[in-house]
Amino acid sequence: MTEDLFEKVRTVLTEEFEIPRESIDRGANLYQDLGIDSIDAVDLIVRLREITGKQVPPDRFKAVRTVGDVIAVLETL
Amino acid sequence: MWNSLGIGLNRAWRLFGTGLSFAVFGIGGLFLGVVACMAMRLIIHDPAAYAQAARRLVSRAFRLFAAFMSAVGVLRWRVDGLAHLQRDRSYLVVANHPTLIDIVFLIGFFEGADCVVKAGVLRNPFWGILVRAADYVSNDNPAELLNEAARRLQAGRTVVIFPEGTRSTPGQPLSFGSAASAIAVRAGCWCLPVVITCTPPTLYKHLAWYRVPAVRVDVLLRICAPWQVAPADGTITGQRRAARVVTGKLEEFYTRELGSAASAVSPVL
Repeated sequence: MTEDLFEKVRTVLTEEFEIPRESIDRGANLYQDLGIDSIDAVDLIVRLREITGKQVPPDRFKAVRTVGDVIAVLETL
Repeated sequence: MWNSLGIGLNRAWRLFGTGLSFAVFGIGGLFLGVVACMAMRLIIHDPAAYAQAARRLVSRAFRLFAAFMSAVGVLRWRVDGLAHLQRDRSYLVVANHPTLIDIVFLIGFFEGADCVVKAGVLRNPFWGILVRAADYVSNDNPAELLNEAARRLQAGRTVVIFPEGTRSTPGQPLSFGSAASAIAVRAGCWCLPVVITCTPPTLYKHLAWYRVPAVRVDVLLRICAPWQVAPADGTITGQRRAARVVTGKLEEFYTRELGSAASAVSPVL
């Protein structure tokens, strides 16, 4: 299940944000390592909802730093 | 000798004038916030009309402040390219951001315009009250920023934004964030570029306000040809693709327009 989510997040980041697949691992920091900005984060939340059916509350996303954090939040929903 | 004394006196006067301008700006903002907002509250009960009145007041106060700085002899300012403007059309006004006071001229010129403000400005001790009354769009919450700015444009209001997000760093290539273009493709609006130049440079990032230049400053706002941004389809993929095109176009435009100016920003003091 976690693997599945990781692949989904990875696909979104690759397709929408044009981030090379190989640079995306669980420890990668969205903002520092992957170059996501606050506007990108808005789009990311919407795409994650479309793909996983889970709505991440914006205030919980504020605490998110790494790809692993994204998955951890999605798992709790 | 008399000549150099004259230059020194002139500069000392403009240093004084600059300091005085800051003081007038701060005290004026606080005065308007306390007195004018209270008066408007008493007369205007509809929240939307109240905010609109506050935005107009900010525009007039900024124009007056610009006139004050001209009168003191600190700077002159001018707007070119009026022919590009069409009455009864609303715009997403984008501008480069060389100096601390760009917004004074932009909001002073675009009467009653909305703008995107940093969250910190809302808490500013001098201007916070009036800025909150004006109901500008805060950049605090990115999702709300996009929706609110797009909604206001679609409602026929003009919105001013600095795509760089903060003042340009002298000597660095321009770097445009994605907020302005994300708003444009959501709203499907007219995008009106304004090119701001300030010669000689003053109040740039990393440049102390009291380092007044050797001569009076000329601020020029050049209004350029607007273009219509088509609304993107509702999908994130479509919006992102369209926004990338707008960001690229803006970066290319400003880099071309400021090419010579941008490389000549090393302050001459």
